[in-house]
Amino acid sequence: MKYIHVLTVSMIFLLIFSGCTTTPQVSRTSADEITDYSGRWNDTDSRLTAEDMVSSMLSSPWLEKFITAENREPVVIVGKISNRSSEHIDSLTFIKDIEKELINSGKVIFVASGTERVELREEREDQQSNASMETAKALAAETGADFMMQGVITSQTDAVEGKKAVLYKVDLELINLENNQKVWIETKNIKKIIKQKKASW
Amino acid sequence: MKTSQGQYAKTMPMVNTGNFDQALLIIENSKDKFYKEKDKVLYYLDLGMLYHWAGHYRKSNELLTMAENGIEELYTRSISKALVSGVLNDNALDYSGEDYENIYLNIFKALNYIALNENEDALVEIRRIQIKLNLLEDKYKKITEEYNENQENGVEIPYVENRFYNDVLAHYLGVLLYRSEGLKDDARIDLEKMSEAWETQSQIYNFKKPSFPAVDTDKAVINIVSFNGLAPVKLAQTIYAQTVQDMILLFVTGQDDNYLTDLIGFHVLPFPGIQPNIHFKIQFPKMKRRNSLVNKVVVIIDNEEKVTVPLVEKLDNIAEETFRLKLPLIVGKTIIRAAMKNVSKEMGKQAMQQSLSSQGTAGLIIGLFAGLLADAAVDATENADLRISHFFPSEARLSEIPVEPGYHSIVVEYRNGDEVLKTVDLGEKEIYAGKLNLFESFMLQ
Repeated sequence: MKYIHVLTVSMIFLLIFSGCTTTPQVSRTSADEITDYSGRWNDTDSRLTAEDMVSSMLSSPWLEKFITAENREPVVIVGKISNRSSEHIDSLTFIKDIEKELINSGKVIFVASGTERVELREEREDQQSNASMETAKALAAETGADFMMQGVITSQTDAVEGKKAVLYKVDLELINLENNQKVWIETKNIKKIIKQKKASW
Repeated sequence: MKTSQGQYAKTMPMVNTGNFDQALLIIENSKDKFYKEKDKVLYYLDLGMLYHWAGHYRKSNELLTMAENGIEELYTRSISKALVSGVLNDNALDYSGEDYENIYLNIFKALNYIALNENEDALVEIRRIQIKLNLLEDKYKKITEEYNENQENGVEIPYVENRFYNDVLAHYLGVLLYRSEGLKDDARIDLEKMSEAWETQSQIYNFKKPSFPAVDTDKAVINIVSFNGLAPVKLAQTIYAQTVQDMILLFVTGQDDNYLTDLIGFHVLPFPGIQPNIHFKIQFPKMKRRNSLVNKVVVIIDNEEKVTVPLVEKLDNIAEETFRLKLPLIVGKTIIRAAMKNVSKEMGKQAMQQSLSSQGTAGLIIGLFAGLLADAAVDATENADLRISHFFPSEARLSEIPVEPGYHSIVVEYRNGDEVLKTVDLGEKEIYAGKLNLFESFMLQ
């Protein structure tokens, strides 16, 4: 009889606790909040670098010279930004941050990138057969870019005994598409000191 | 505390027959049974490699990254943790990975990224290898110094100089990747380092220098990377000593490839005046190669052209070379720990036997049994740390075969002399000029 009681109580506990699962704790925070848990390149680095770089680009003399000479705003496109660091960096996020800063500045005209253009062209070609004549967009009427921004992200790591210093170096340059002249070059360095984190199990 | 090897006895036959999905299932079900939390790096390494061989490249990268993060966390064991192993044994510590595992996980992550057509990410992995090799330069010097400074018994563990700082397989992949990205200078630097390895690390690259890839080519080239065999494992070698009147009896046992223990030696050392009934056990890990059946790999293109794929890396050599760096620390710690435990135990045994001897024959018998129990109890705590990933390969080969752009059939043959052991048909592949056309093949036997 005693064993039956023990078994019953055990089963009740089992039923109660089998229904209990640990759920992750989630709290919402501002996307602008600076977070740095791993020490690796993250969204904050991407955003802050994009802001600094675009600010530098738009305040350098090339812009005024172009507007004076051409009497219009320059058309800019962002090309490849290569990751040549020792960290996996999502360069697409960084490119989008730069694009956002450039567009929001209102000082340049921004055109779609190569991969985006492919899809847009397909859509325009489709419109020629399927959209009404009034609404179909004309072919070969794209805005050609005057300048292309290119860049590279590199890193240097110095590590010893559970501590690591990583210097991220972002080099961007703006190139005149007509004559290949480089009209603006900027470098931004981000140095991080990282203490090793606890791996999960 | 003892290393679990049960999971490998079950998975090795499956790995040998290429049944990786079943092997994965066994390893995944071994979590918390054979792999405890302290073995998480080993668990992630074993799974990461099996997922690679099974062709699940994304999953393999996820697990190898977890292993890498774990190794990074445990990069240097703190002295407080080393002291825990000073009482028990190194199995009590978190497994921080063999140095060669820490390097080769990046090679396999790079190969995973190449298979996923993410070459920029593959290059990230290749660059990480050099950072790790730079760290290896001083790693054991610092750990040994730290350990010696914290020892109070005056015993100084020697430090062994690092002789591995340049990995040919990583540089070879670097040349191919940089070349495909049009980064000729970087490709040239990697090529120079490859060449240097045969001059500066002849103990590791102790085989014929292969032909190297071109730094700059606009032509269509097929690159085959092939792996054969499996990297070394650690087996236990145990010395039992028992004193009798004026003699020390030494029994040496070792594990065979199936992890079974055999007596491999028995010695009698005359030692006049030594006290009888002293017993101790010391156990060391010994790296044991698992020799590959393969001694030649041949590529057949379009059913005709046969090209021998040259050896570029003996992972066995690198595993042994890097293990050599920490061996003095393992042996030194084991001897110091065993000596401390056995001296305390023998003093306890003597005190107990003296107090029981006044109680006549019964007391003597109880004292004898209590002594045997104490010997067995201390022996049980003295076990070598045999943890090592079991699924890295033994040898790597790489070749470069110029072809016309277009579709080509690729077959890889694994041979022992003239005997063909295995044929791997990679199928029809489209080969592009000026791009990376790297294909992987393996036979893990």
